[in-house]
Amino acid sequence: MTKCREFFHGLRRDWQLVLLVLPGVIFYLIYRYLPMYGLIIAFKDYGIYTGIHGSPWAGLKYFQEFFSSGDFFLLFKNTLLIGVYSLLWSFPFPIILAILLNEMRLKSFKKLVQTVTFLPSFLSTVVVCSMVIDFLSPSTGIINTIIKACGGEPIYFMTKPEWFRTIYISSGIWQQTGYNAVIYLAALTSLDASLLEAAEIDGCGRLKKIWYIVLPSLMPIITIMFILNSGNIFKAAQDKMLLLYNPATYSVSDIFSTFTYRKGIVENNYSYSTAVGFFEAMVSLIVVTVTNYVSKKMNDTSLW
Amino acid sequence: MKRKITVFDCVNFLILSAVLFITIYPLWYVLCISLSSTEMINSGTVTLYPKGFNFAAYKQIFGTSKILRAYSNSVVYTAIGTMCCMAMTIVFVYPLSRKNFVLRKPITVLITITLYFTGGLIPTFLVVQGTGLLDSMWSLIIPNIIWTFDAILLRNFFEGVPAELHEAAIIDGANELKILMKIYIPLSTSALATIALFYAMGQWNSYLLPSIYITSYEKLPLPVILRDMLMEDTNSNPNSIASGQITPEALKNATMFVSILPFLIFYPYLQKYFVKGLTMGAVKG
Repeated sequence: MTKCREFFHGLRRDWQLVLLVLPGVIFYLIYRYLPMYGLIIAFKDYGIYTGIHGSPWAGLKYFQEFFSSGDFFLLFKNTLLIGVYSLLWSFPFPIILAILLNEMRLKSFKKLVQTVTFLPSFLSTVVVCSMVIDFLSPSTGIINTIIKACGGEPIYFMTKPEWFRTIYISSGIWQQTGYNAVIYLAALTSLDASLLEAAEIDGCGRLKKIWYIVLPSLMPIITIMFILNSGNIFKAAQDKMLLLYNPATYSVSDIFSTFTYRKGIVENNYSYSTAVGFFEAMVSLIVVTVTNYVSKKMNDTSLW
Repeated sequence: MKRKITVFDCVNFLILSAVLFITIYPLWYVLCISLSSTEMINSGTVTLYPKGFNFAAYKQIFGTSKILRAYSNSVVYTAIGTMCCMAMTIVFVYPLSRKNFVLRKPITVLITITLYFTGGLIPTFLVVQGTGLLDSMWSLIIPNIIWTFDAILLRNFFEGVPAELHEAAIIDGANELKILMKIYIPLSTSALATIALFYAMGQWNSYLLPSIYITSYEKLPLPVILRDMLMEDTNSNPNSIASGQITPEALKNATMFVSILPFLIFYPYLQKYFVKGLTMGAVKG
């Protein structure tokens, strides 16, 4: 009771702040929480004219349909594999780049490389994907020009499922390495110089210094970044995937988020799409919670 | 102390030069293609510099209303969007940064949940439709007017403003809005610039939401037009290339280049803010 009184007293005291925070709260309620409520259409036969409330309940029909269709296994596999491979392949590059930059003695050159490698992460997905497709074009693309010059047959890269993950991941590495290296570079600035000096006096070479001093001192941040990134394993970039994939590569490139897009926006099957999206959201929530728990256990660093 | 240059330094220099080349080359290639003649592009010989140098593609961009209109749409959406977003975010975050604000805890929980769980594509679409925003500029601005992650960063930054300043202002009889305007905002310009930049880049680059929410052709922003050009031959099958329906490579690459040009021009000046934003996120408050 007193708690309640205190609360209203606080509201009166902070009325100016309440007024300021109100528009934001309304935004969150309408555009973040109302859609969560809208998830109930996954359990209904949503019709455009009947609306959310007027549509009849469908129970778990769409979930059953999804789980019993061949799509489920394929999507799950594709989403997971893209996520895991992206994590494992892309993860080492920023660390290597940061260490190499840190060892660079020509300061102006270091600055130049850092500035330039940082740039691609701000290019739009459309531009990056355009470049990827142009580069790999069988008729004019530079890669195929090289293949042809060496006497090979041009490869239709974008239609070959076996090439898809390589293309997706390597273009991601090209785009994100400089951006992700910033964190490690920041950590390297606080490196204990006396340790390095001591090692030098003991006759330690550059490679040995990197291996025995620089890398171990980066280990805590590497662990944190790895755990945090594993939380995103289920969140392959929908917008990039939609640009790079096509029916010829669906067998490896179709993931939950592209499937919900096709079912919902293209085929207007709102309930089915929402059911799949709901499932995806639950799985990624579990993944994030687990990684966050692990991170908390390991080094007191967590998102919450 | 001048140390002698070792093998390690040479190898390092070579590796980083390669990295530099790999990063720059695709962008340079886009520029080269945009300045080359169609015959040269189709013969596949354009590699290191433009061949059959001409500005036809750029003339075409400025001659066709389609791309120019999309360009100006993008400029307008980005400018208005960034201003609205910043105003909303600042006003929303300020009360949350106050330690004894009565609603601080509940609202923090409210917004943190949305970082981990969302309604997803279709339910959000239905809400945007239901609030009557479809096919208007506001559908690209209002539904994402506060970025939760950036809001939390800014809140942490605001929390670093000394409480004494705040108390002094209260004693001087300032109201909360005035304190925000006269103390908090001037003290956090770099953090605000960073967030505004990230938001502007996000708005400028986004193609998926406009392609879903905007239905009138003349309201589309640039990335969607680019996407359409790209989609024409995305299947990269031999038939589509023979059909002659597709946008000439030069025009496509010129449009790409024009779309990243404003960013390229300002990038050297803005880079420090981007870096700051990243490290700001790393040091948790």
